[in-house]
Amino acid sequence: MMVFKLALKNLLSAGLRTWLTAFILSLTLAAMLFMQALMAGMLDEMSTIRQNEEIAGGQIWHEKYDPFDPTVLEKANAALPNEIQSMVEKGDACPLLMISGAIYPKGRFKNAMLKGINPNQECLKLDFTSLNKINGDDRLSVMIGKRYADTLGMAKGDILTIRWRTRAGAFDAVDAEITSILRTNAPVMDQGAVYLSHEVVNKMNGTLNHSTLVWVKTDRVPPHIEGWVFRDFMYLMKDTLDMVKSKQVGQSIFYGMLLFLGLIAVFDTQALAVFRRKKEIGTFMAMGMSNAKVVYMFVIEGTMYGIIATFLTLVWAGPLFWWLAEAGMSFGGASGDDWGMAFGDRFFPVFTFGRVFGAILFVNLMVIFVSFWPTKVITRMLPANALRGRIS
Amino acid sequence: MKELIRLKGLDKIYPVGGEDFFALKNVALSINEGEFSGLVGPSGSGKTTLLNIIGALDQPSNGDVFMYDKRVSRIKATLAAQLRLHNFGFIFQTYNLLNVYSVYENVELPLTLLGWNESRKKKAIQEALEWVGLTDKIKSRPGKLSGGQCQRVAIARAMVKRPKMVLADEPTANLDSENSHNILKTMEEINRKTGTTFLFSTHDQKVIDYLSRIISLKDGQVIEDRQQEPKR
Repeated sequence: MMVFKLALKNLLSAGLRTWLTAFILSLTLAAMLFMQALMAGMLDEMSTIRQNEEIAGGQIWHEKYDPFDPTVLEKANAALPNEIQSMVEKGDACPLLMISGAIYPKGRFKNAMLKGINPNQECLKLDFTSLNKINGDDRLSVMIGKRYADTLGMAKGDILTIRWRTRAGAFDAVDAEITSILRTNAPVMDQGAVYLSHEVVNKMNGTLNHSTLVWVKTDRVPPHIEGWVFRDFMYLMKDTLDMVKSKQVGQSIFYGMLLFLGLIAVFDTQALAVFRRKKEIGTFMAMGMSNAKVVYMFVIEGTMYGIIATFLTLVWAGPLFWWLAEAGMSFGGASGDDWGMAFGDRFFPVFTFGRVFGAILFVNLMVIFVSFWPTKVITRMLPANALRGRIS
Repeated sequence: MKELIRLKGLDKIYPVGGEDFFALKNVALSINEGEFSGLVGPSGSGKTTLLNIIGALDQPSNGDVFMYDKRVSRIKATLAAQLRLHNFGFIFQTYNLLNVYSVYENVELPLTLLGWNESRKKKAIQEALEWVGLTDKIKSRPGKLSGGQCQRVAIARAMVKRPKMVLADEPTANLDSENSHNILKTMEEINRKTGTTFLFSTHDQKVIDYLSRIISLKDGQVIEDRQQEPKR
């Protein structure tokens, strides 16, 4: 208790130096917390968006389907087996048929993926009901994503020509009207995709109720279905998780540097104190304070920097972070559109108790370490040398 | 009088430029309880080194220090700290007061380290500050005091726990003549009243005049050890 009181007295007597050191540490802690929360928020948002608008509860793929190989697409579809068909009929699964094609917006040629979907599907939180619209002149109803529409310079009501190759190998073409623009933050659902009804694409392909994949609402699917493979949510999120992991490495380096700067402030205060306060330390020792108590006193002083910094962070950054978590933040209009990632134009950092507690604990442990280390120098000091200002 | 300190064959060697430099060489002497004595000699004669070794602030290279016939040289740092805490008071040339503490808190510190309770501390501090005439300055910080007042705080701090021995290293070196006499008078009075042993390290004639025993050092060796009638 006596050593604690002395440490507190030393700390309070240092006045402005104490507050500046604690404030720098507080900035570091806040920056660490914010960056962790921002990354977690981005991951949360990407997960939510991809789950709602791209993945659902998982997907059952035709065994030949490979999203990275468009050449197999022609053969990667089949009629759904009974197990899956019954899920579709119950509304627990939603089929998608994909075929390669091209579109001619305003006379230009563009490759496109023609995707046949049930307009009334309930697996994804996206509205495809405008595909039900019946247009004049036998024009098909199609939907395209907003960023694809922007790229093509097309809007709702515009007409485009769709060309595709039938299963028999012949080319065919038809006019279609954009009945609605699909608003989605999942880039995969947008870029290069032209949505038509499942039935229409089957007709274009010369097939009956064929599908390339099926979205399922939950991951409760039959364990083995001949010719079909279940891909769960985590499998389909792997690219995002890998991307976040690689970002986290870069981010750790960044906030490692921030932490280093903050700890330098404490280390500087503590380590320099060993030299600047050597006479004072010698005096404490001459009066009978043991080396261990001197070390203890310095460690307590350092620990208090951590505690004050934590308190400061909670006071100034707490309300700010709470507000940011509620209101989100925008980076000058940048969004997932610009980076090809699944999130909107506002970022919502996510602060959890575990994350806040973990960062506080980590920073405080580091502060204790850098306070302890220079004081080891003191323990090797003979009082006479300390009084003379020498380190033995 | 009972023997308090005995030094036997004491050497203190520092390596200088690859060779051994003897700061102290084969020093042997004893100091009795209640003495008001001094280590006298020019700069570099080994006074402060000897004082530090007696006070367990430093360790001898060879030889032994005994306190009440118990060997106290080459003991562990923790025991040395205990020895200093319970037996020695120190007065330094540059006062070594803690600037962030008030006069009261500076004097209080040794008692805090001893774990005394508040009422016992308060009584002892009051008495110590009365001895040095600083009861009106208890809230002042050392930075607001004169050199003489600072040294008097240092005396109070050294005396407040009633140590067996006070070791004073050039206590008047930074003081003018009048302040030096006042400080020395105070210490002599305390010595007489309490029987506390005082050992000075000095080459100041004003201090030497107050001493009853003079131990002269030269090049790390005791060259003279004599009693004298104080001349003040």
